Amino acid sequence: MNAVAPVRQGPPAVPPPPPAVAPADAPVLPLPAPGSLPDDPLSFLYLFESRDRQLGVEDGSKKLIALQGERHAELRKEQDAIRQAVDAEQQHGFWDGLGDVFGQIAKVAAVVASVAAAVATAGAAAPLAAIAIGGAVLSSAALVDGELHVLQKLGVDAKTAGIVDMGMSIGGAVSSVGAGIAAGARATSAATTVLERGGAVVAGLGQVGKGVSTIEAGCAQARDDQAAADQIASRGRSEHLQRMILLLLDSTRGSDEQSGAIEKTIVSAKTIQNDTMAGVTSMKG
Amino acid sequence: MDLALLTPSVRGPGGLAHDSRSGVEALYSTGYWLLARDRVADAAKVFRVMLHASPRDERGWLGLGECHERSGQHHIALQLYGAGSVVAESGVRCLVARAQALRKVDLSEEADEALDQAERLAADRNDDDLVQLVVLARGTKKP
Repeated sequence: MNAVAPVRQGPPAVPPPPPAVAPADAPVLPLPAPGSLPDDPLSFLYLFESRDRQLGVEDGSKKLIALQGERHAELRKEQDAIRQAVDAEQQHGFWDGLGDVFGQIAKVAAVVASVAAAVATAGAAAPLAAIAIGGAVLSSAALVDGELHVLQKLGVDAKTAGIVDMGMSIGGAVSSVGAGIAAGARATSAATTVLERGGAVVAGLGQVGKGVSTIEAGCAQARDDQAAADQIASRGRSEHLQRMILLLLDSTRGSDEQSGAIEKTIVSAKTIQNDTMAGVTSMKG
Repeated sequence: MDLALLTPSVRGPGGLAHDSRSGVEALYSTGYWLLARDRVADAAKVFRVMLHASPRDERGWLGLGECHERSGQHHIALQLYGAGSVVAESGVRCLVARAQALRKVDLSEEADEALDQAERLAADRNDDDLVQLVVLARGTKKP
């Protein structure tokens, strides 16, 4: 029979202190509207998952360049159409339609900003269309330039046009902020500076969109405002953005489908803008 | 589902067609439902689509930021809240979320500045609910 030594009874274990309860954050997410939840939210989710599975692998660099080329050509066509409509318009009422144009520009700027945010949060595991999104972000800058020239030829003063340009460049600035994720805490302070400036710009953009009463006819070009707008636009096209796109091209898959959807959104906004201005022209002509 | 259907229509007099608005509300409700069940990855997918559909809706930015916070990615969440406070029509909630996220990475001064900005915006909008939210956020400050 084996003798088993009695287990020594040590001092009673001191229970660990209860974990410190962190003060709960204030709830920032508002409750959903009553009755808005789909009957079967899981089916709703499966829709998104099936879209993700449809994404295929593409040649990133060639696709990006091709998208940029297509959008530049498209923009030139729309500029010509707008210029023709403006030439035919002689009545003051034309400016009423222009107010809607700023609303469309604001919407496109918001789309670009959201696209940039989606790219920043996609990560390697989420197969978002990095190519198409990168192309959309880059082409937004081209869209901005095109709008500026058109607006100035319409007699909009350069300061107002510059506000529109800076508002559109928020998309580029936000996406370059996303590239700072790997830089850790330093990115936060840099982002703060960019986004605070962007905040002032967006406030101006909202004022422009509210009405055309602030638009003054004239052809004077404010060089200082234009230089500031160019500075922000060029920051949006900075090397950070380029490196981020290349990184994403290496680690994620692209999609023609996403590119087409985003492109349709921007094109439809521009088409409606063109139709609005042409409609005003025909009414007044 | 065609993404374009979820894009807010620009044709209606109010700027949003009924179908698109209800689609956005369904997206948000679904994302909120998924977050409540800790299905963070799924909720993130939904909120990303919501951002595409309605980028000026603050809730998309808040939802996606919350997803990244729950995954421990506070810096990504900070980027999202900052972008949302600029792009969204009302950025008060994003500023509050940003302040709370800044506290978690020990940037208390920046957090207080964000709350001050949120308080000013809430007061300008005469929105008592938002003012109360800022007050509540200040009250949850770490000792």
